[in-house]
Amino acid sequence: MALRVLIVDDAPAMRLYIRRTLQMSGLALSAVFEAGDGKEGIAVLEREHLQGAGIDLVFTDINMPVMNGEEFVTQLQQEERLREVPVLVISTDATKTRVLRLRELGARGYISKPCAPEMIRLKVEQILGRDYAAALC
Amino acid sequence: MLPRCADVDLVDAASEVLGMMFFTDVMNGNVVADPPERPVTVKVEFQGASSGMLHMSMPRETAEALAANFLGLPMGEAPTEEQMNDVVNELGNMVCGSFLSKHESEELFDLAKPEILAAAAELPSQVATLHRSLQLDNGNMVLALSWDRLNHAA
Repeated sequence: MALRVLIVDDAPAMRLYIRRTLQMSGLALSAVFEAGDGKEGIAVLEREHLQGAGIDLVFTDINMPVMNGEEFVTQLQQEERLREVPVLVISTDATKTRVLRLRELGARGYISKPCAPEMIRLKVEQILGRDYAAALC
Repeated sequence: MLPRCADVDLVDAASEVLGMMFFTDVMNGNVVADPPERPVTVKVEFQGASSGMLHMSMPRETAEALAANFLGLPMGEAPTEEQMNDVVNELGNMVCGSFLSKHESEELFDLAKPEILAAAAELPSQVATLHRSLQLDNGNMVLALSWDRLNHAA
């Protein structure tokens, strides 16, 4: 089954890094969407949900303008139709307090930067199961 | 006395970030080097249980090489100015966050949006600033950490 992924980060370079890492990791992807902050991310999720395809996994940063990562995760949990979408936080802030707080808010996983490409794939497998890790070719 | 090996942790944080995400090795973590000419400098301020700022400065050629590595650009293709600045901002963000995570494992901290400084900007030189020059495989990089915990130690 091919994944539909959303990357939420205000840094275009980081969005490109995650996109490229996912593409090179062998994960089967059918679509990768990008958003520059949590508010844009919510809009993409709602749009894709309304169109019937939905999003399988969200990567989000924490420090972002307009709506940060914690607010984004909180908002998702309040939306009945979106709260089941797994969110994987990817951030430089790896303090225990932050990780615990994000888990309590509803994030399903946490990757601290710097992170090797294999770590991203491993976390995706942990959250979604190995069926999603089918090679692209 | 520096708090808990701050100098070692700063070099370790930079080495981990550069190695893992920029495919760049730190050959030497404490070289004596002149400030780079035509530098690209990023500043990241932080606050929380402690506060301060990190400056990272490197020659333009080094910044371009790091950006090309991070973005996975084809060999020989140079990043645009915007791409280079965006990547250097992300580098500053990651090194600062990684360093603070090593020191503030129980405390929340906030990183400000990284800021590229004008080429003529000078790095902070007050006593309570920790300086390290790294020799990379594509040039030298200077780190300057100004931190209130260094003030207490000075």
